[in-house]
Amino acid sequence: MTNVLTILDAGISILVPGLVWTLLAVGLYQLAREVIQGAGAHERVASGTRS
Amino acid sequence: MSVTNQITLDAHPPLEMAERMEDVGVKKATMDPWSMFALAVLAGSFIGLGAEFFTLVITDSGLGFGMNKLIGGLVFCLGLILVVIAGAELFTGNNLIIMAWVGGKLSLAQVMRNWLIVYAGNLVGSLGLVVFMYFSRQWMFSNYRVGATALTIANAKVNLSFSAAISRGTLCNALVCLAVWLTLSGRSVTDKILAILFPITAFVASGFEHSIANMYFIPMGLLLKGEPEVLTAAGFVAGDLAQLTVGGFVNNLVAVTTGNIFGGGFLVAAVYWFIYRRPKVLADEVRSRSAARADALQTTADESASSPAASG
Repeated sequence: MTNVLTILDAGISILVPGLVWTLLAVGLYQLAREVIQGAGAHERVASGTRS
Repeated sequence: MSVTNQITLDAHPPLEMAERMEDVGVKKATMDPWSMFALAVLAGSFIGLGAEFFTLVITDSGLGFGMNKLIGGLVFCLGLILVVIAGAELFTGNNLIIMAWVGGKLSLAQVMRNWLIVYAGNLVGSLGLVVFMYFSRQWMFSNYRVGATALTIANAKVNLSFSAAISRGTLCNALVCLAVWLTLSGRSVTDKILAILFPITAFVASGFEHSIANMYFIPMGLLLKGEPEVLTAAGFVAGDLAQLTVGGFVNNLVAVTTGNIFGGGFLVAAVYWFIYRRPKVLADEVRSRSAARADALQTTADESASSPAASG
């Protein structure tokens, strides 16, 4: 019983953060990529307007 | 021409609630960032007001353990009632946006943008309220015992183990998101307040952990730690508050926020999407696939009809 509880405790302490932090990491990566692409597109439009 | 005016008093059924939640999620995530931030600052201070009310009411109430918790939970509902009825952006409630992402109506980047802005706004609102509450000297009430309660609450929070903080955060936000989910069934202000009362009272009375409420509770404790009268009223001696530091606050927030996202985003939003929205998505997919197949068959038939062999 104690072993099962130890495994469950480890499950909560490892699996839950693992799942949530993976979601956050992927989301933040996608957000950063969108922001960088947006800034690049903005710069291209700005340089196109200047020329 | 006949005009029918139907007044419906029935609550929205869960199927409609799921559809409304997806639409609300899209609206929230695509809102102008400055409005989103301002609404999040409000939500942070609203939840802080609920936390402050809770601290005041449970101090020297003279009630037994369970009743004291029950009364504290009931008054804490002020926070979410203000958020839902007055309108504000609360990080924990916004974990339900996951439903719109799972349903393919939002990208994960849009969800993250909303969560980041709202979390930062909630923190600013909570800390702003902490400053006002500290200078209001309200913690001196009842011979500094209100301050002692606030300090005891903050110290208990920073001393939680990682798995306890995650578990309590999970359970807390499952109940908070269920409260927000229930408000989607309501048509009037009364419906919505009644929907909030029981889940929120349950989470507060049970001692579960809410990341945004902790943005008020723990910083308030950090400030009161420096007040000797509060330390005396709480019966703390040097060393009892060793964990009550900015580092302890950050550790608590990391664990509790993780639990909150899991409880609200996975156990409520994703589960309800799976139950109520997935069958519709599958049915739509089957319909569009059979329509595409019918189109392809029609095109093949047209081509064979117009080919020279066929015409010859």
